Amino acid sequence: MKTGLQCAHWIRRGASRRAIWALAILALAAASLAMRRTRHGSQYWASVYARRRYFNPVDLKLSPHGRRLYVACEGRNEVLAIDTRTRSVIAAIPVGRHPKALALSADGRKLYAANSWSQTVSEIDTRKLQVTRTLPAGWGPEGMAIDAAGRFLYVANALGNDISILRLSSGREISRLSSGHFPEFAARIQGRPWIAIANLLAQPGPADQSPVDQLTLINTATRQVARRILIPDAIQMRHIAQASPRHGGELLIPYLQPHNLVPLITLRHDWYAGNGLAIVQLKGGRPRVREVLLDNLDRAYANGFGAAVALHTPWALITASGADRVSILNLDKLNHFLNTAPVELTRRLDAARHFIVRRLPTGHDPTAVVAGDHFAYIANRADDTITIVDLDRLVIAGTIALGGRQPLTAKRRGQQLFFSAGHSNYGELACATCHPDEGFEDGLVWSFEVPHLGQDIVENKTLLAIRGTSPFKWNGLNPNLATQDGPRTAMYIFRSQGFSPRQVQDLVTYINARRLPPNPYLEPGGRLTAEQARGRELFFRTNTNTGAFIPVKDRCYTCHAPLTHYTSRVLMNVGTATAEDNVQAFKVPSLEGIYMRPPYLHNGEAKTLEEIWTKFNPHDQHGITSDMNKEQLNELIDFLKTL
Amino acid sequence: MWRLKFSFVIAAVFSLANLGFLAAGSQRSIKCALPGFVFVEAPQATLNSAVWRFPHGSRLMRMPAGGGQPVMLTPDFYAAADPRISYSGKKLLFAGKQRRGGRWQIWQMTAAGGGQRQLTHGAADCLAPAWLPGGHILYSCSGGSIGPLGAQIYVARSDGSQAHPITFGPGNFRVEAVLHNGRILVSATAPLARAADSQRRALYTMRPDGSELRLLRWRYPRATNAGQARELADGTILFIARQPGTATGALAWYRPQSPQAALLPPSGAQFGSARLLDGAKWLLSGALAAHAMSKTAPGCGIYVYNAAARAIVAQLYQTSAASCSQATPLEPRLMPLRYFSILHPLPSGRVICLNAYRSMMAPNGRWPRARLARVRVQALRNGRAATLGSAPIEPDGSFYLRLPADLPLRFELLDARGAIVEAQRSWIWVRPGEDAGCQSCHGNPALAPANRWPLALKRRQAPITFGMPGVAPVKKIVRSR
Repeated sequence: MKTGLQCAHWIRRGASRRAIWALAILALAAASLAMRRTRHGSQYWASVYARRRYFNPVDLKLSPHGRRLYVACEGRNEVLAIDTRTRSVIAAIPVGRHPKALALSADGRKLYAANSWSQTVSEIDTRKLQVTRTLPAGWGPEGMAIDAAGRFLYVANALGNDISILRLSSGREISRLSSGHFPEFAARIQGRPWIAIANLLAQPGPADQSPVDQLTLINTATRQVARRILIPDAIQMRHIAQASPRHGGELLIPYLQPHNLVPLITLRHDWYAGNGLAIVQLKGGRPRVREVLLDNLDRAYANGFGAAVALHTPWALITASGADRVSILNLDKLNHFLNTAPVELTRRLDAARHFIVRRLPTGHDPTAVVAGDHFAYIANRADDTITIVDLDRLVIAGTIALGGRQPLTAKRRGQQLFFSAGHSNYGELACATCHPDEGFEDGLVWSFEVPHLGQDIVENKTLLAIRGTSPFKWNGLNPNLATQDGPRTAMYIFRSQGFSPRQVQDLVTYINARRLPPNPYLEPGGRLTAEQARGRELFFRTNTNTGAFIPVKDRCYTCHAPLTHYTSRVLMNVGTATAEDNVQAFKVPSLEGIYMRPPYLHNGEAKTLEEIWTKFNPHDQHGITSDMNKEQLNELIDFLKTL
Repeated sequence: MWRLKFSFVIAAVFSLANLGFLAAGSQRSIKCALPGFVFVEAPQATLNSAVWRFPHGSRLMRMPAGGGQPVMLTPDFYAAADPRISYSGKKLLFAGKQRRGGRWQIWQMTAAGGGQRQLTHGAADCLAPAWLPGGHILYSCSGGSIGPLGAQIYVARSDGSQAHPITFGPGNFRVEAVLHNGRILVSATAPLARAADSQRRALYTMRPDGSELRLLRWRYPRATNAGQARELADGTILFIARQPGTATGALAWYRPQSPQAALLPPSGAQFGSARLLDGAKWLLSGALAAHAMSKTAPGCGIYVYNAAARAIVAQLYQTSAASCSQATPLEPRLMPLRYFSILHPLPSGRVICLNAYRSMMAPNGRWPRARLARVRVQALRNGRAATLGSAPIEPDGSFYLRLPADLPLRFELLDARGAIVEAQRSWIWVRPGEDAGCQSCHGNPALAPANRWPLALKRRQAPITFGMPGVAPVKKIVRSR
């Protein structure tokens, strides 16, 4: 039995990869044969390959004189260079996998692209428009900033929860600092020797407390963390913009105010979540955080994402990825409002009218925004366009189409639905609100109306790699994704019409295509370290340390079956139900990508994998683990993190 | 500010021009490239406590696209009013009374006036119909068999069958519009408000199943009644702000970002209704001169209003012999989102209040914890208020109650001695199986909720149940065919 299951694991980890390699080689051979038959075969196949993929622009940088716009296209693994005068693409520069962020040197000669799935940074010569170097980074590099002297590049590693400091002259990483949870965005602060890092998720904390996000400030002189500014009631901090000194030089960061502990019985008045703007005032010795909502009384502007300040104007631009809008703020009015409004302004839904002067339509899923002297540019991820905003007249001045496959595929249509809040009442939430970064999870527990109001609070689950892991939800009541995304979502979450049957199919196609990023805990080639291998032995063990036989039902692999994504897909009682739960058994979760999604257990009580067994398995109901010593438990966890 | 002044000047110029038309006297029409529209022509409009009525002789008129002479669509009716075009632009709902002394009923016909069909047959006056997505209609009913609570709103299938009420409190509810997000906009009075305000009509939203009744805004133009409301594409609510005792009033709107209503120019004009032509133009009915449409109207017109310029830009129709109102374009409209009801066939609903301490009536917006001890619930039965019971307020200000469904209810916050600290001024209800939530009793409605697990829920207690025995089931008051 044991050997068979280990074989199964071996097949998943080894043989399947070999089979894939063999198939890939065969496919390449066939492709090369086909290429020989055409005069320009390689270009042809490259163009065929490219046409099949969407650009998915996610970050922008504008050259110092504003003549060139650089676009990170994570869908095509390219950086595009656009001539802003002709509004046309002049070059497509291949970089690593899933480029998520760009950083531009002060003189505009070097451009850096963070390749989030390659663990690298591509250095691009902007005159030759070619990659000149590939620099190492940590796991999931997604945000970057260069210090004022142009000597060091600070890279926020989202999966590693840390920040790499790269010396640009040598191209080597000289230091790595701990950040908050899932650092994704970085910016250099003008007038201070600081790099600011915005963390997407809150630090795992008590499940019944409101989340607290963190803005990490790094001193570029000492290259140490200078401050960790806590933002209460906040998650999903995104791009960081800085106002000009004339407007106080404060930092503007769009974020989400989740109301996850309030039972979700309506969406009116931001009952579910508010879309806010954190304003970090840097005057004086101690940074001060003010928060305002960007929503209206009857309309939410879901999923704030990009932020930019037009330096010679009073305008700041904040994109709302779920609302397909960009909000234009008057910084003079914002400062006046902050100085004169009563204390409790954090949750005021009538605040935005005091400082938002315009809401302009964009393309689908607007993400990054950059502002020049007269124009601002917005990357629309889900329709491969760049929206141009005329900053003098505050109107849409045009759109640059990047191309992309036509007609839209089901997956692409599903992507557009996934990021759009238009199907929810008051436009308050999209799928991406709770599942940011294309299907990840927000690390929170949520209180739903059903099955019991205010009870059975459950942890959000990832949508990455969930194909074949049905049924869904912790209570296993949703037999498939179509049920989950169809009427039940419409009735109990969106509180609106929801998706049509075709739209549900598109959405399911998109969600089923979500994949986990490369696992940082796995050696190249899928090899396990000695500790991980010992952990695997523990995972498949049939006897305790004392030699006692472990019943089949109490073995790890029984419920977390390797051949079915490490889940038996049934409900199990592992003794984790609490007084707030009305049921005792919960669906066995998949263990794939488990390292990247704390907190754990159905109610998010375990902040780490260790706590699952050290705190919440007192009676060995969640596997026989009480006989394990600390080293063994660590080895087991080391192995689990490779899944 | 100068823009506003400028628009007032422009509006005044147009007003003078239009007064010139009026002075010319008899009926005349103006050709233009606009869609056809239907409107109500009546000798006068009067008011009762619920809605404004049209007496004998009110009739639906159809103005062809491009102008010309209007055609009467309801020659066989004693009175007709409240036209509402379907989303396809092909059918019309309207309220009609066939004979003197009869009841107003809901009728349907084609946009050209053919195929008239009666949809309701009840012993009450049914008015103000509207279309719902999903093959349903809704309308207001009052008088007759409706009972002492005043006008209520009913939902029925589009053929008039399966009619059932969705409002259950005093307030003389009237259907205003179906919003793009699937909610319905209604107007109602607050009978427990201070005497001066007790008959003031305010705007509310609710789901089409009658759940989640909420005040749309809380700052109103002083002493005005809101009615004839419509939603613009950006969520703005356009309405007529009437002074008490008049059937017409000023044009006003609630912008999505603002809690406060704003009056629109031209000042001094008295409009009966405003309807949307497209995003930038509206169709107004009324009189430009002050007092022109009060009681005995010397005349009125139908105008095109440019929203950007905030001025009347064209006059489509003018008559000196009768009042005219409710001009409705005969063209397709965007269908609102359909709302899926999640009510259950239960005799009760639940109410969760997150924090009763927060109140705009308290000093600094918050009652001291020691000030509030319990919440008392009253119900209105047979025209009398009766106490259902009281429940303790949790230390975090939350309370969680199960209450009989479809019964007028109101809450009172009590101190430890049982004295009333704060009382709800209007009656609300819960629908069967509804989970109704409120942040506080008189808290600032512009505040989003605090992210806190309410103690009343966290303690895993069942909701405190009031008044369940002896609750009579709600009867369907309107007979369906």
